[in-house]
Amino acid sequence: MYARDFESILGRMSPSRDQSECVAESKTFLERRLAEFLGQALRFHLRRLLNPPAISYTRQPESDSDDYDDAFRPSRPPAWKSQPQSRVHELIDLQLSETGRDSAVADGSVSSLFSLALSRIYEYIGSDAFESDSDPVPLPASFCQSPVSQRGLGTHKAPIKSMSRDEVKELICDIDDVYSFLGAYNACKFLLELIRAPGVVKEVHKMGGWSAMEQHAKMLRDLDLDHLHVEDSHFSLIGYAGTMGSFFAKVEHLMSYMEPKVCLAEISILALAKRYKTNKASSPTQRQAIFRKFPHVRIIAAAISEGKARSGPFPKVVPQPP
Amino acid sequence: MTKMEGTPKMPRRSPRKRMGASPSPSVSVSAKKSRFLSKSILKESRTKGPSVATALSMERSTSIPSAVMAQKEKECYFHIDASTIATHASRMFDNKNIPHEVSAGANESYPLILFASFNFPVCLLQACVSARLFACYDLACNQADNKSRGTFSSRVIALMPLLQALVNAEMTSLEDRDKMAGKKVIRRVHFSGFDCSSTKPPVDLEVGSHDHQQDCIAAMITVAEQIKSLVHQVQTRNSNGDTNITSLKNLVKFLKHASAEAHMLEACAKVRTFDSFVLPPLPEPDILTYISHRFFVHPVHLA
Repeated sequence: MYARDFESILGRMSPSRDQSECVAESKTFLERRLAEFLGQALRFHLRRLLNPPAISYTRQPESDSDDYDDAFRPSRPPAWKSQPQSRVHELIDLQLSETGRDSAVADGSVSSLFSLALSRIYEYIGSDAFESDSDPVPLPASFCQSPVSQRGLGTHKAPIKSMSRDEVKELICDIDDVYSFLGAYNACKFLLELIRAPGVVKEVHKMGGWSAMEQHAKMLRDLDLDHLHVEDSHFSLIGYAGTMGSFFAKVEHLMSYMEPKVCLAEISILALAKRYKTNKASSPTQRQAIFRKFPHVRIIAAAISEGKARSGPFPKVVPQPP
Repeated sequence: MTKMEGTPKMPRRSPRKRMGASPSPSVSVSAKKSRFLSKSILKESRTKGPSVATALSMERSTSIPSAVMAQKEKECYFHIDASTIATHASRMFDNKNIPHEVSAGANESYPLILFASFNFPVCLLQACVSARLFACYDLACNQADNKSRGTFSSRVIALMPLLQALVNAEMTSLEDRDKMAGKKVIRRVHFSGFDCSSTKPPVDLEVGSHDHQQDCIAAMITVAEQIKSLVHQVQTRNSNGDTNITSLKNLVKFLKHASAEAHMLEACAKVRTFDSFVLPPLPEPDILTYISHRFFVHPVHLA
C-alpha cells in the first residue's frame, strides 16, 4: 500500500503530468480515506444539528450485565454522556405535497433531506457557481425542444411505431434536463424554507453552530478531495461558499435566478408526456394498449416517472406554532 | 481494536464455543499465555488501587516476568535481522560491497532505537507497522552509505515530515480511548491502523464519540498537507525538489523489495496481532527507560 501511495506522489511530481488528468487516480489511499472520513463527519454533524434523537436498538458494548435477553432492548447512554438533542424537528412539520411516503420524512430525518437537497444542486450546477459571485450556469431558453421531443407518436394515419436508439437517448436527455432543473429548484426552495422557519437558526447555534461543518467542507475543497468520494462530493458546496451564511445567500440567489423558468419547465414536460401519451389521463388499459402498439413509450414513461422521483421528494416545511 | 457498537451479545455458551474466543491462527499458544499473565498483572493493579498500580508501573521492568517480556518481544515487533536489511540495501542501491556481517550491537533490536528517534516511542507499544517499516528503510540506507548508526540517512531526512505524519496518522487511528480509560473491550476482530480501519466511528447519542474520528482527520490532514508541500516543492523547482524525487524513488524501491520478501511480510502480519494495552499504560517519562530495559537497548537522542 505504501509503495503504491509513494508512487502516486511521484506521479504527481512528474513534469509531464497533465493537470487535467483524473485527480482520483493520483491520490493516495490515505487521502481517499480522509475524504471518506470528512464525509462521515459532515453527515454526523448534520444529524446532530437537525435530527431527532435516534433510537438505539442495542445495548452499549461496555455494559457488563449478564442478562443476555436485555441485549435487544432499546437503550440510551447514561445521562452524563448523552448528546444534547436537537429540537429542530419540533419546530417544523414536514408535509409531502403529493400522496406518497418518504422514509426520511416519516422518520423526521431532516439531515437526509438537507444532504439530498445539496446533492440535487451539486448535480445541476456543480461547485464552481458557489465560488464566484457571478450568475451560475446559463439556463436553457426552453426545454424539450429537440425534434424527437416535439414529434410525438405521429398522426393517426401515419403513426411512428419505432424509434432509433439515438432518438430514445435524445428524448431521455431532454427529460433528464427538465427534471434536473426542477430538482435543483425544489432543493433550493426546501433549504430556504427550512432555514427561514422560526427558531431553526437559533436551535442550530444552541447545538454548537455550523463551524465544524464549515471546517470539514473547507478541507474537502482545499485539499482537492471533493471528487474522491462521489457520495459526499456535494458537501464541497459549503466549502466553496465559505460559510453557511454565504451558502444560504447563494442558494437564495440561485433560486431567484431559476424561478422564471420553472413554469416553462413544468409545461414542457407535461406537453411531452401528453405527446407520448404517458400522462396520468390515460387509463391503465389505454396505456397497456399504447405500450403494445408503441413499445418505446414504455421506456419514455419509465424515464418520466424516474425523473419525477429524482426532482423530489422535497416536503413542504411548515413552521410549528410555539 | 474492536468495533462493537450495535453488536448484540451472543447467548452465553461455554467459553471455548463463544464467538471470538477461538484462537486466531496467527497467535501462538505461548502468546496467549503471555497475554494471560499480563492481564493478571493489570487485574491486580486494578483491584489493589492506584498506589499499587503506580508501584507496578515504576517497577515493571523487574516485576513483569522475564519470560513474558521475552515472549512479548518475540511476538510483537519486527524480526528483521541485520543481514536481511543488508540484503535489501544491496538490492536497492545495487551495491554489492555492503557487508553482510553485522557489527556488535547491531542485532535485531537495532531498529527500535530508530523508532524512538522518530519521536514516537509509544509506537513500540502499538501495532504500528509504518514506524517499523520506515525505521528499517533508514537502517538499509545507513547500511548502503556505510554510515554510523544514530544519524538519519540523508535519503530519509528529506521525507521525514511526511513519514512522521504517516506514523502519527497510524498511531492516532490505533489509539483506543476506551481501553486507555480501562474499560472492558471485547476483542473479536482486529482492525489496522495503517488503513485507519481502527478509527472508531461516531455514535449519534454519545457525547464526545466523534473525538477519535476528529483526531484521525486532523492527523490525516497533516499527511495530505505534507504531500501537497512535497509536490509543490518539485513543481516550483525548489532546490529540495530533486532530493525529494530521489528519496521517494529509493523508498518505493525498498518497499517493493520488502513486499516481495516473505520474511518481511510475515513480520508485518505479526505486528497486527500486537495487543499493546494488555500491559498497564505507562507514564510519559518512563517510556524510554521502559523501552531500553525491555529491549536491552539504550535510547539515543538524535540530532
